[in-house]
Amino acid sequence: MINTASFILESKTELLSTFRSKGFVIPATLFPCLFYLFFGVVFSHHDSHNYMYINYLIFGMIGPALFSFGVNVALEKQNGWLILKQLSPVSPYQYLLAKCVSATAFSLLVACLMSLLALFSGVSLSLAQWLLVIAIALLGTLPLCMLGLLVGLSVSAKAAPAVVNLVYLPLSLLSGLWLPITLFPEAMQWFAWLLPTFHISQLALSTIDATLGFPVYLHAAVLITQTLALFFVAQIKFKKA
Amino acid sequence: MSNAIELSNISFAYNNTKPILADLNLTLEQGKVYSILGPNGAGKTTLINIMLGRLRPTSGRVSVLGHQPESDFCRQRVGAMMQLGGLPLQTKVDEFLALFASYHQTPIPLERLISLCQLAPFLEQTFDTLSGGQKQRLFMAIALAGNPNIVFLDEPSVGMDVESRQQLWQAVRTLKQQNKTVLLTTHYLHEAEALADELLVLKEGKCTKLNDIPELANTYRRSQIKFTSDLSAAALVNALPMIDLNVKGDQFTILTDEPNHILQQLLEKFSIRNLYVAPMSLEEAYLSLMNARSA
Repeated sequence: MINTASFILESKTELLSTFRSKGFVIPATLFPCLFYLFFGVVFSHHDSHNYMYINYLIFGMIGPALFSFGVNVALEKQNGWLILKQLSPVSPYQYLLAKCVSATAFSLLVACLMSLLALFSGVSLSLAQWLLVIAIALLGTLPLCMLGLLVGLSVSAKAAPAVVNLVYLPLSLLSGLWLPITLFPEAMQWFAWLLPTFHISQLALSTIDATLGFPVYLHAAVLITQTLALFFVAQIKFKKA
Repeated sequence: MSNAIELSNISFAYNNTKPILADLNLTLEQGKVYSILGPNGAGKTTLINIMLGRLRPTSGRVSVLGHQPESDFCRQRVGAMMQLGGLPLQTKVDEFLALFASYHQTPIPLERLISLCQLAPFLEQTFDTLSGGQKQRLFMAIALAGNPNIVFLDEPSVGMDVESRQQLWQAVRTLKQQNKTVLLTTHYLHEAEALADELLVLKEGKCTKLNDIPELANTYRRSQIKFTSDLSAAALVNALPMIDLNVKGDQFTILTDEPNHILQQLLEKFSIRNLYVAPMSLEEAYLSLMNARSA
């Protein structure tokens, strides 16, 4: 049972705590924006601005989900914060949901900054397209929260930042978030089907008709299955922690 | 008086290693303060974790307030201050308190919690700016936030300065007045002595009440008489046969169960200086017993 007042307080505390760590928030926000500026804007053709923006937006927005769960959970498992929660009557799901709230706020901050850059970089989306793309990317952070949670529960606090990067960067590259996936050999394009980020990208690209051509519902179905599977495994692992 | 905790025939071992707890029996009454003593690695923290439901004993039965220790009933009524590495660095003290109060059905009013744990001067500070002793007081406040019936304090005074420690002692006494059961582990024997109604010794996987260990309890009840004098040891033994005497130069030390009688004799018959009489502390008794065992 989750008590609403307690949940709001938990989310607020988590948010305040995250955004007070300026040494973490500022670089973590600027990193994907700079990445977008260098590779998505400077090296982009005049006809691919929208395509690059959408993919780099997803890249930027899944970062906070992976890091907030992967790195923080590993740390909080190790230093005893998780133990204090387990000893109190609070539902463990409240802790996880509050982390989702905080990661979502962080993702939206990244989305705002990147969209601001996009406005000056030749991106031409209608407001509806723009909102839809952000909404899809935001929903897409869910499986990444689960993946981050799995990493956070599996490795030590010291190893977590490195392991999260080892997941984050290859995942982004291999899903075509940095370079168009059509530039990759065919086998690698098929491998991308295993990665949730690939399906998020394809779903978001469907708003500007720039997908590989597979039906939207197929990507949605695979993504939902992957999310559920990750949730299932993470839950088992969380109960054991 | 009803029992707060009952442990019967508890055994515990980590994966087929030598058992840490072996057929341990223990009953804690409501409203009493207990202290567990024992060398490092004796299993004090393991025992507390079993009572908290964080570890399942290999065999035996645990009953906390008549319920399973991991039940929601117990989570609402048991508070624990464990040895923790740290909390989220950028959260303020008052935010921690409000958060943990929100987890409980009947929390202690915040002002009372703040005064009980002496947190008022640094409510607005984030965790990373607290001193070691202030952190300990915050951990204690978190343990007490739900107004628990049973409180575990695992090494509560580690890192505390003298003043913080005195406040901690005061807080424990207040808890006792409120009829709460307190179980504390500590390295400071005088702390255990000052606070606990009952001292428990954890040794070789079993938990014994100190009063049930005659060699320790008896030594502990003795008094220590110290003085300097020019008289010879032989003269003293002549006058007071059957005493436990130790002589170093002109320094005399007597251990006795009858300090009144001995003192009377000493003052009447001999000229002595620098007289000092004290009950033997538990620390001395404990050390002398442990030394005797290992010798």
